[in-house]
Amino acid sequence: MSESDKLPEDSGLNRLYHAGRHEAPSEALDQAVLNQARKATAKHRNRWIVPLSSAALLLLGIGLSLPLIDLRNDIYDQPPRLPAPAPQAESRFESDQTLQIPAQAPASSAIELQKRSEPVPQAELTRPPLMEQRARAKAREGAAERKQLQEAPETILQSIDSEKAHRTPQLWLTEIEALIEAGQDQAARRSLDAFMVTYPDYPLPKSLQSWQSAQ
Amino acid sequence: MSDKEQSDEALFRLFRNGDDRAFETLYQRYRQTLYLFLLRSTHCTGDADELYQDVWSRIISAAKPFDGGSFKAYAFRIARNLIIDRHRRAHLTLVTDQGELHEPVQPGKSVEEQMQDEECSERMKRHIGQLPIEQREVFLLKEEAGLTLVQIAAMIDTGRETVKSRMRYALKQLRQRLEECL
Repeated sequence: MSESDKLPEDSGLNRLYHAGRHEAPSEALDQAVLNQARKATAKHRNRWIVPLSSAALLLLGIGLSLPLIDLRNDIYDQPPRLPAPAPQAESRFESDQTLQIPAQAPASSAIELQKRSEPVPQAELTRPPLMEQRARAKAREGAAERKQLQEAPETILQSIDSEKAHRTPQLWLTEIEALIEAGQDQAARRSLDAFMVTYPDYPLPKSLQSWQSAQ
Repeated sequence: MSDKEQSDEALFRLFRNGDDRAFETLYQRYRQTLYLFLLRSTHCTGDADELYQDVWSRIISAAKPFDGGSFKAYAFRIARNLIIDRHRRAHLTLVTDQGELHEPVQPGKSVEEQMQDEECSERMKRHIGQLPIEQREVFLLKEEAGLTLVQIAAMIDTGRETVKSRMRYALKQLRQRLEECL
């Protein structure tokens, strides 16, 4: 420090001043200040409690709601390669099941996973969700059915297709008789069964009645 | 490193992070000097007590830590601002009640010598109180707080030469009035 940066001094006055420095704050004043400081530090230590507990609650909420969001995606995002729908009653039954069973499965499995303290095996983590497994199984069944139909005789396919195209019962019966004459009894029986379901009150010709009773 | 070896600034940071023992160390360092600064400035124990608690209260509840300077300068700046506020509000008179303060007996001195010392100390305190406020402030910031010229000039927002000049006038007046004690 240079001389110009120093304040003027007087050693005699300095000594006299410091000789008279006896006063000090009272004990009560000391305690008041120290208590205030302790309160401030306690407040500082407690300031993390509320944000931390809020963050923990938020994480818990997210953790519990994520499996439910996954489930909704499974229900609404049907895979595009699903086979043609089965008869109405059956498909309704299936859809009811898909709404009920998987709704419990992911949620219960998520809770189960949280309860476990040991790490989840990798294979279990990579396994597709239940809905996807179900869709794949259904796709496999559909493919097998199609294959079976492709392997069936051409005439059967034609008769099945024609069943759908029938407009009049008379024409349908004529076709059934033709199938009988051609010796395709199995196809004729199936077609006749379908006819009787569609037109239960329509009188069958005698030839068909006798063939049916012989069958 | 123990609290006693830490700098004032490190202790203050520790306190702000929730360490109340760091505050106690810091408090012990500035307990007397801050109190005497206030007492010599106000010349009234009641005012000094009140201001003293105010100073520490502001230090404790400061929203932000002081901006990189020394803790000492920070604390005395608060004290000075409070004194000025008080002076403006109440037109603080220079009447002193320090005669009522208890002075401890100093060992190794005769009663006459002690009485003379006490008398000189009392006279000095009284004469400090009679100094113009600007000179008194510079004198106390130097003698009690131990601040440097640069720190005092920065604190009272005045040029260094002005501060030196005020100090010179203060010393001259005190020397004239206390000649027989020196």
